[in-house]
Amino acid sequence: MEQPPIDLIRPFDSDKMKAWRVDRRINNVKINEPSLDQPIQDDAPIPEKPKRVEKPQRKTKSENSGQLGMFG
Amino acid sequence: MCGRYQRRADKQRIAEAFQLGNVDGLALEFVPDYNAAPQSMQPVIVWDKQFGTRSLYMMFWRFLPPYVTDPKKFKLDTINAKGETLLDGNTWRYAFLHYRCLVPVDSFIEWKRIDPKTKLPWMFAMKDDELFALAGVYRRWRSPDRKSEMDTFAIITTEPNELLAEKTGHDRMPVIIKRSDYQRWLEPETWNSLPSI
Repeated sequence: MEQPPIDLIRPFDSDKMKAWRVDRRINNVKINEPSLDQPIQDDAPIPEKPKRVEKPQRKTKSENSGQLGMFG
Repeated sequence: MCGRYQRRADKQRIAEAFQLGNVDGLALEFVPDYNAAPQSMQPVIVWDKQFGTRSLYMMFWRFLPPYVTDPKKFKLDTINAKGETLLDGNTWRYAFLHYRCLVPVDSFIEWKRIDPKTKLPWMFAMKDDELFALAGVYRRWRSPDRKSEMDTFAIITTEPNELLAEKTGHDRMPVIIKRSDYQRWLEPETWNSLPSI
């Protein structure tokens, strides 16, 4: 019976690997550029998430300046 | 979990690193991906039984088992397969036994959770900056009416090594296959031909 290579499923040797912190821009899948792998300091401050900009509310008909719309 | 990686290598560099032979005539075209995310098409390496060679295919990074009828309604998270349970159940077993693949990457990303709302990304790569291979499984998914089909894959995960645990505190990492094990991983039959000890 065929034996699967289950023994290959193991953690890789840490000594052969390196790690560094990167910018949170990588969280956004729409950003895809070489600079995403640039290291930042391990203890660099965490930038605040940009606040959501509120969309200006559309004026209701009664708030309009009294001009009649072209189609009433 | 492994939910993001980088593949800076182009087709030729992958061909050299994985001994794919001449890929000039290969109709696949892809550009480096600095933010490879699930549910995108990615190049993976499989064993081509017919020609006895390693081949490169574009596959969808989200494994779809054959029993799925509508991918949009399939809610199971299948971008990763847990290494410890590959032989349990219907979802992974057959793929692990017969359809294993290698995912070429330059680095992968894991996140360190700071608080419930904040995760910091850490990148992991080889010290020698060489391209390396994550272990994967794949299946061809066909729609019930057989009008559409797609090759899909998942990355296998295991417990973390010391480096990943120290940097992120995360409890999983992708399985990395050493160059000397590429063939054994890709070609199921080689196991049978090994001499018994």
